[in-house]
Amino acid sequence: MSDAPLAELREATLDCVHCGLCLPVCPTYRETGSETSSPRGRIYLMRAIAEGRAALGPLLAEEAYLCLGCRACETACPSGVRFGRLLEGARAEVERAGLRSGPAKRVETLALRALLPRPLRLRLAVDALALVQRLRLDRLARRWLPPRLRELADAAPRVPPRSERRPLPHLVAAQGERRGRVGLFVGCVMPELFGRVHAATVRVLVQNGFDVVVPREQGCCGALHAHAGDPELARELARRNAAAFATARVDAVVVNAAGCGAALREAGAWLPGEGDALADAARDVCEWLDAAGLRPPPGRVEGRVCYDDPCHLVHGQGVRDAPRRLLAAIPGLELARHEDPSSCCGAAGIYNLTHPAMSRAVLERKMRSLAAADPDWIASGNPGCLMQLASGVAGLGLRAKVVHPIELLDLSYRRGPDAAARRKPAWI
Amino acid sequence: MNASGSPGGAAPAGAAPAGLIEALRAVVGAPACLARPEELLSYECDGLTLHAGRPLAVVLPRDKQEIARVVRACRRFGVPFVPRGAGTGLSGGSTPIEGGVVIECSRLDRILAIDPPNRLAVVEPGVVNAALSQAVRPFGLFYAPDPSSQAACTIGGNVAENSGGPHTLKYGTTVNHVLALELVLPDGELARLGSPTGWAPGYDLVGAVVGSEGTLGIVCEVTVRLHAIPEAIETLLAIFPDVVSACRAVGGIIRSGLVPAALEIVDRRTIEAVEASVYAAGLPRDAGAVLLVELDGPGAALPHQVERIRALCGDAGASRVDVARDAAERDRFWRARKGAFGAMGRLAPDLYVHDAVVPRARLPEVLARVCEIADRHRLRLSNVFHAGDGNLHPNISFDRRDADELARVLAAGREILEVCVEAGGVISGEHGIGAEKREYIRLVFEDDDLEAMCRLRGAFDPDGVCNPGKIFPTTRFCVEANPKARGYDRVPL
Amino acid sequence: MRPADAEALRKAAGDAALEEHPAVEVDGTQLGWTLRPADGDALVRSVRALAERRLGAVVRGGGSKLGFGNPPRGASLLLSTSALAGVIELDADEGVVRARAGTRLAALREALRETGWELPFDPPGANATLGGTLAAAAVGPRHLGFGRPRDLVLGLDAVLGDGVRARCGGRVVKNVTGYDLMKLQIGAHGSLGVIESAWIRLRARPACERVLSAAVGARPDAAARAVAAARLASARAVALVDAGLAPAVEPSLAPRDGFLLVAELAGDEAAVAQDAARLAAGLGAVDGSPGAVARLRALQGETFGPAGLRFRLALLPDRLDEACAVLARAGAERLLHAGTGLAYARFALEPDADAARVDRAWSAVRRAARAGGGHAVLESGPAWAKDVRDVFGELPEPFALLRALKQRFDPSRVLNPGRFAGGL
Repeated sequence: MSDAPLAELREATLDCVHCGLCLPVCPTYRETGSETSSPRGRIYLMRAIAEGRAALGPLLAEEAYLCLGCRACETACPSGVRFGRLLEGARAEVERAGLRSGPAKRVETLALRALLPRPLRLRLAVDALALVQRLRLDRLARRWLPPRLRELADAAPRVPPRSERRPLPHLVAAQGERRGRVGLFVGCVMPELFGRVHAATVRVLVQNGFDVVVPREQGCCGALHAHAGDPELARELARRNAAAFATARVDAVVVNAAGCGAALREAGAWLPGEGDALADAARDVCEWLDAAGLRPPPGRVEGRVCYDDPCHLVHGQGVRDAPRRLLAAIPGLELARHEDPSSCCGAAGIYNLTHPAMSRAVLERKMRSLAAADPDWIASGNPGCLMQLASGVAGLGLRAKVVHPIELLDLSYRRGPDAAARRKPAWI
Repeated sequence: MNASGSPGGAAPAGAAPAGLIEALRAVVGAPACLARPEELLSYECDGLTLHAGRPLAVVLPRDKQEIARVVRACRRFGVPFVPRGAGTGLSGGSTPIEGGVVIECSRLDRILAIDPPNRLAVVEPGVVNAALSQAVRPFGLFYAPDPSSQAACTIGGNVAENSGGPHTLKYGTTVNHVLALELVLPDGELARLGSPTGWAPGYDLVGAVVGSEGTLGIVCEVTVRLHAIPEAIETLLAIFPDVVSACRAVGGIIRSGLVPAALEIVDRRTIEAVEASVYAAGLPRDAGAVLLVELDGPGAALPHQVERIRALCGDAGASRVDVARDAAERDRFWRARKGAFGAMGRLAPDLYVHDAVVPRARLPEVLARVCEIADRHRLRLSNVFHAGDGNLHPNISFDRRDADELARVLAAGREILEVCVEAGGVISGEHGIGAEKREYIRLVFEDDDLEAMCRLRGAFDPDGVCNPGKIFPTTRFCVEANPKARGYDRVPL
Repeated sequence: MRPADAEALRKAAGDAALEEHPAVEVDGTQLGWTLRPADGDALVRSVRALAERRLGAVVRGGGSKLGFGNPPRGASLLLSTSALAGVIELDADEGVVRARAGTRLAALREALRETGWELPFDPPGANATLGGTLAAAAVGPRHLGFGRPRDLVLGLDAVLGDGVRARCGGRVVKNVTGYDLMKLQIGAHGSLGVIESAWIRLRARPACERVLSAAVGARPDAAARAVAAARLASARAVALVDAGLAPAVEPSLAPRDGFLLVAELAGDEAAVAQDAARLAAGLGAVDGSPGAVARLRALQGETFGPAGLRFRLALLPDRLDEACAVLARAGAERLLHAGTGLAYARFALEPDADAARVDRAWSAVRRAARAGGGHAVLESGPAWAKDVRDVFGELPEPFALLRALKQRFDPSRVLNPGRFAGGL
């Protein structure tokens, strides 16, 4: 354990004045009522360890990973404490000290090191899962699985049909008057499980007059790795993406996954100099369209939608109103309010796999507020959230459909009177 | 897992009496009983980090029966206990007692009843203050005491400290809003005090318990009075060349008999900090001071009041008086005040927040002397305060790692309190005495007065086990009044 | 009084301070001596002497509340605060005043007349003093606008039962410095200490005042409508009076049944005008006769001479109607302060009335109180009636706590012994 990182950590903890305003927004504090599982308590522990008043031990390991990393505390903090950074540093220290082990850690290592950075391998794994699901083997196996693994099995998403998993074309031209050229960041899991969201994103961008470039050499953004205390691999992945987009000559790198968006915007912090261009260019798709001025979507989409803020969009990137404005622009669509839209849903990357009980408790709270609003759609801009919310909807038997906001925009454009809008690239 | 000692921190905890932890676990369940050293570490202080104490255990009860049983268990083992809400207090009221148990009440977070026709609500002590106002809003009601920490602090904590906030000028403090409460007495029995009607027979024990800083028992249910959301609200922001003229405006407003809903002053040093931070509200940086005035009431009455305020501010030397045109602008005006604490917090690692009250007419001279004291001690001080109540909050940004600076902060603190008391004021308007100001209470009260207070404490807690060591300066008083008292010597500092 | 005791008292308070006089009856106890200390120090010495000699005293201000409380047990003299009178400090900038306990409220009002401030107390009783008002937590019709006495006291000096003088609170409007002993003394009927002086927070004299009256028929929601009137922003007093009592308050309006409603509005001209219009529209209210509020106040404080019972009930606003109905069925005359839920119920006592009669009245009143979500106390009645039940109604719980407080604050039981709840 080297001293330098601890000292850096300590300086960052000094911003905290111990006021406690972060407590009520912290999902784990809300569930446990314990100061130790609150941002203030975690910061205090980190500071104490850095000052030698406490040992770097199991409690920090537990708390560093019990924390969802939602960063709602950052939004609430009057002193501007960058809790996300502190958390990553603490997790890195925990990893360096080798304090984590056990099934949760093993699943995580498997997923993070072996699968996510390797698109081919990931595709094969998803293919295998698809087969298992098509043959209903998952339902069969479920019965004989121990409870812990059953939870994991339940959390596994339904793999979409092949048609939604085809690779995107390298370049799609703008329709109508051309306003610019953007790159699309596709990530690792999205093409496999949410291909339809990428397709919708391309269509909407194209409808709004942007050429869309999809560089082939890009890959996983490294967010989960940074959050899991593996900064080295995160940097490597960031380097790959920086290089992939460096030659693309785009006005912006548009991201439709909040977690990835937040990570790309930190590329400059991970890779000073090298990552700056990518960090400066990265934009969430809703933020981009809102800033550029959305071409009014013409088609009616009747119903009520609850927009739930992904943590890494509202707290991580400060984007709160843009998605709501876009949805409000859709004719016939009513933006319905639900309680506490910016609180975490409990997905938190692969948290629902590593901490299923807390993930479920946090999800239940979220679902109670959504159920009370009883919307036709629940919209959120992050794949992990979409899966988590979908499982919550299924669990309660709600009628709502869980979608990415861009899908509702896409629906509106495709229902418009303009035949051209309905012209799809042949592959979708 | 050993915790080594550190300056200003707590010594390692002594061993718990055999069987205590098991007994506590039997009441609240093992997950709700924290006893690992690092877990206890995070509870060693509340919002005031300068005072710390290491408890033997922290329990998180779920309901009042569990609280009562925990108290009885503590008594059986002869350990004192400290109640705690969200731990946002600024005087060390919920700093643990060495060798004691912390009873964290934030899991009792249910609003039990809202009674709109009678304008009252019944809540558990862990309900967050802002959450209460939010919950009663659909009924056209609100809960008036609104401390700056209201997004996090709990009603139970508000009861302990008789919390205030900007709106106490017109509506009053917590003690004016608590109609009834249920308490776990220090002997572990439950007691219901007060009446939802607001007129209870017997002694006004509710009045005695509110503001008693958790030393007379543990509140486990509170019935509070609510107010109707006023028909109309007007918010004004007046710019003054200096703090003294802003204070003079406040004096003029009070003297005129007007009772605004809030009167807040932010001084120049704070404005600079705020405008340099993310809370920037577009205030003119060369403003000497800013006075925020909020009026509420029947729509018909407000225009006249707005004009009177304008005139009074003008008379006192305001260079400009703006009236908020809409809710967004109103929020912007308030941001200047609400962002102050956070903005000041960024100037240095530590922030010392004072809390004295002086008669409003004496504000200008007291403020001048406070700034002089800070300058003389070479400290970075700014003033944000509830000018309408005369409640000052001189905030000092410092770094406690600098022992000399810390000493100067404490010395300046004492001088500031002396100045306020000399001007006819008192040493705490809303934060309480806690552990922090024990030694200063003698600036306000004599031995006889303190001894009388000890009689009250003795009636509730003859054995001295409920948050001992808070409020009173030494063991002398309360030991004399309560021969069986023990535990007072355990609080550090 | 034993000569040794008299001498000790004279030594403590001065020769002139102890006076023997024709017996004054206080709830069945005949008291022929009054000790009247001339200043605070004399008061301290007096109480100490009382404690040392174990002499119980009934504390008296203006005497208007002397009838409150259980019959005294073990009192041998009156301790009068009438010499402890006068304004100590008036701060017209702050809107606060410090006055001695024996100061008549009328004198205080006079002292404030030239200022823009008014005294926020208006209990019945021409001789009411500041100390007595606070000790009894006595209120009048305007307490709706003024607030409860406990919410208006910023600081208070009291002499405890063993002669210790304790200062609590201060002169500022916001204070959390130590325990709030003021709240203990206010409403304690002098059983925990003799109030020596107090800092009071004044109210701004309103720009405009108006009284309106209305006849409210016998309807099941009469009280609810009065409560709505009381919630108008400028309402300072809103009372419902039984039709039978109405002529004593508002001669011009004579409802045959139901209630008379009297509403006093005070404040901004525009706000008062608006609220008056609302009352006119909603209740058919018209301008009230001059002096209506004063008559209302007097009525509140009346009993039927020595042979009547007057109860004070504290009720929840949305259950006033139910409670009123119970009282009506029991034959009580009613006066309600709608906004705060305070109700007064009067029963005439026939010449041959006995304990059973009193008991029946109590039962009815307690039923009404229960229906109203609150409780009742007997404010006034003949001494023999007070022996039937404790005037404070149910024993306040936890009584052990009250007893512990009494024991610590008045160990020798010299202050109003026996008068408080449970005979404390």
